[in-house]
Amino acid sequence: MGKILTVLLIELLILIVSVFALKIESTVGFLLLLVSIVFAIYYGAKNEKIRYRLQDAFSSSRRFALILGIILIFIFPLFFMDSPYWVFVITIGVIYIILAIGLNMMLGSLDLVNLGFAAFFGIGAYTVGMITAKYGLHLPYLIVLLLAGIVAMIFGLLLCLPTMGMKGYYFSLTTIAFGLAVELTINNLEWTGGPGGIKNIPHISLFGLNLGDSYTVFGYDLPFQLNYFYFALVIMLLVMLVAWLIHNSRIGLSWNAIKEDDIAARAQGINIKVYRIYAFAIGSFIAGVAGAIFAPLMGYIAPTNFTYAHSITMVAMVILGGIDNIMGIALGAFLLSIAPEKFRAFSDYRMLIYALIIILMVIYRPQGLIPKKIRKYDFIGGAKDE
Amino acid sequence: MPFFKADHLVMRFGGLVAVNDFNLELQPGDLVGLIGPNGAGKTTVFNMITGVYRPTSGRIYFQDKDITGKRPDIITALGIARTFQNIRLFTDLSLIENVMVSYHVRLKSNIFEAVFKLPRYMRQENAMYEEAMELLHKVELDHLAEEKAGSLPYGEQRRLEIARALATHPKLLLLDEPAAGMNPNETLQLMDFIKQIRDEFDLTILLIEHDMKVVMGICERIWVLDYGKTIAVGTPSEIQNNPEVIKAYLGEEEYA
Amino acid sequence: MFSLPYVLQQFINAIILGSIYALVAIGLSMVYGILRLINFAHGDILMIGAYTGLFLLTLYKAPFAIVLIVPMLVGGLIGVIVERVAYRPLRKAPEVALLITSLAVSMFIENLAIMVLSPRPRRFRIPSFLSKSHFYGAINFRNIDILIVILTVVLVVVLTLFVKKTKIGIAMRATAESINTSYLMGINVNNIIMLTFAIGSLLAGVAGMMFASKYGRIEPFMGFLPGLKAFVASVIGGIGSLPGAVMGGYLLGFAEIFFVGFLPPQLSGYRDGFVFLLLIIVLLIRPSGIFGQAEKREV
Repeated sequence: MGKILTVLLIELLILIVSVFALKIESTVGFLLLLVSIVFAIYYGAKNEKIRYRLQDAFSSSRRFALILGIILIFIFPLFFMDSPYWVFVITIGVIYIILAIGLNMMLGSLDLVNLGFAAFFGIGAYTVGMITAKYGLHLPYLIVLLLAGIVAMIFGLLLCLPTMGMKGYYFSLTTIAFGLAVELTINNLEWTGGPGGIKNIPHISLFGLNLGDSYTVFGYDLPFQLNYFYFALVIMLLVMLVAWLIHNSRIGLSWNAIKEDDIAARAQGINIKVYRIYAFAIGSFIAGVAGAIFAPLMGYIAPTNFTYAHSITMVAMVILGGIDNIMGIALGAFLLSIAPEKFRAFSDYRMLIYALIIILMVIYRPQGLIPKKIRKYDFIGGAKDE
Repeated sequence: MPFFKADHLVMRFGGLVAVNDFNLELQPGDLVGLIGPNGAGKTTVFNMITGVYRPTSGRIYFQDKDITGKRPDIITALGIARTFQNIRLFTDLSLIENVMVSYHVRLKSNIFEAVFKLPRYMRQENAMYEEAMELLHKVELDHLAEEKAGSLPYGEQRRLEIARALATHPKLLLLDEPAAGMNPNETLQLMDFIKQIRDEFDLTILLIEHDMKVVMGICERIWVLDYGKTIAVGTPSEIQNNPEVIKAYLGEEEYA
Repeated sequence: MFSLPYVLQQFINAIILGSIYALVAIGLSMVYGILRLINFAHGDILMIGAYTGLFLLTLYKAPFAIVLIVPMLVGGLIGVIVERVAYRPLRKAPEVALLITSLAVSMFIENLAIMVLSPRPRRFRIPSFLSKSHFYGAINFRNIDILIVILTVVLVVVLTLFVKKTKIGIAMRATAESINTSYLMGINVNNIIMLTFAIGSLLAGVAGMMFASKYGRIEPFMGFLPGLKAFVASVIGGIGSLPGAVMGGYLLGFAEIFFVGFLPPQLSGYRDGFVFLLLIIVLLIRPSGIFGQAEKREV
């Protein structure tokens, strides 16, 4: 009972602090809060007793912690009912979490630094834009979502094949080229709307509900952004679940083996090409899905939404949060998509700060905020990394 | 057709002839040594057999199949496993994971079964897990199953690498300097261990080794390479008395 | 069909552009030869060189000789600082850590430039004696173009002699061969690496001046594409090889100019795309480049 209480208190504390952090108006207050959070975490991690108690509490009531966490995330945006803009910002954060998890399949699991990942995001978004706005086809949204993922996946495989034998710089530079080529093409083609992009993308309608409508619940008028938040959240949880399952299956294990030593991996009978194809197919599919949520939420997309800088941002998110750790990546993606909105200064110099974060992380904490954990095989026949 | 046959293998890198006209035949259950001074081309022979290099000319046959130039993972699946001269473990993975990686080659389930943990996959994975633990037990590392492989001392890393190779269920096992870096006591244990696994897993073993005690102690036949050429073949006592070997190889190293 | 003067004009343009690529590629290739690092920030040093030149020209009305030399020195200095601050702590880190850092350094410099210099492009006007044009029938080129080509040739010759003949140059080549062995031979590897960065960045700095003089317009992101293209050039020539980088630079210059000059004009928007297509083709057909040797991996 004491353990469950600990978990409850800690998770409530995290919720309250996060709400407070986003709500607080004064920069000084925010910085003070930030410093005290860092101090608390640092102190907590240093103190053996506290750390042990927390670890024990969370590992013995894992299911409770997970369910409570999900419930709290569902409650989270309700604190921002007065400002739909913040709900929108948080929703974008959720979309970036999805993207970062997709990217991690190449960057984290295989050490393939893909610097053109935003292209898959863009391809997904454009697929939706073209189908719904340009051609006005009335397909069920879930079909459109699936198509966006599939089109992005096809491009993923298109990139995968010529880069099959490449590693390191050769791979990265080719992916930069790929990203630029996609950006250049949608910018130049009249078919895709050129630099002007696609306007008037209709809202998602799902099971008779239009996510663009504002619904009234218990007398409260909820902003339409909230609908998108919940939809994105459900997709995010699904993506996280699948990513977690993959990470703990033989695919995740083989990816890690290949990343460490491809020659040894092949000598153990792993067909490295097949596993690379998996990473590209799944990763780019996920990015396409993220694009399919992004396009109707924005209502308007243009090539400037899917640039090289966006690709770098995604890389920064994974590196900050923790390579190959789903919770870490989610944290990194969320922090880096919220921070520019919180700070005017951060927003103006965001790429500068991202760059600095990457450099500092790689030099001083290459494993990220929440490091990857060794998979445990404590119960019969299944891996868990929690 | 013999169990394994290397037929006139030649490997050239640019102008350098690393292996010249190498021939080898193995029968099931053989325990054969491959020796020679540094740079004689021994590891290159291994790399050709396991598909890391494609021989410049010559063929390799294994169980009536021509496996010349096939992909390394296919050759492993056919039943040839190896260890590496400078240990190539997955240092960031745990011991049990190092071994479990090798089972994937024999898993019949597809990726959806694997990801969504469907019953057939779970059954296989259970069996795999238990077998992996058993292998770790055999190399006396089961108590460290969830430690990172990189944290092991050198001698234990060598043992883990052998366990990992065994997990692919090989019929032919290639050991590249298994005793390197071991102390005399560990070496003695290793010699017993090699003989033991050969009998227990019905293996054929080809090993490269610099430690003459190991080679003379356990190998039934020995191939001697020098500058890419095979200069002698025979039993340990024949090799010990072969003047050419003594001149080319044993002469340069103090041999007890 | 194309007239002879038109073809000759394209030749001249290709040599000028190729010279600039060659200078940038040398530094990139030399650093890779020693550290197995592609310095993404290399292109940004080109940008710094160009801005330094701009300030000397407009604010101090400095004579052009100084406008050529100071950007070189500034470029070299920045290269050394970048190596010291960002890359040296990662000497023993895995390749992917270096890759990501190098990427971030490049972003950092570009965005710092935006912050300090504003993102808006500026005109880069060179002294009138350099912008003077020569007309031979339909062919024309300016004094600055002659200067670019001659300066490139001189710098390449001097550098080649330096690397081939001097003691330090030999130490550099030894370090490229094997860092560990050089270390054991008593070579101060850190100094050699620093020197390599300095020389490479020096050339990038002067290339920035040339680039700016040729196109007359500079902005904080101007180094990004030339940096990538220099990488393509060094891959074509065989990365790590000095003559390879030079040849690769010129080959790329020709390929790019001919693509624009001799193919239908509606394709010219895809000029940069074509360069990357070239990269992929080279990597697929001959990944070691024209002058390079295939890297043999230890197994």
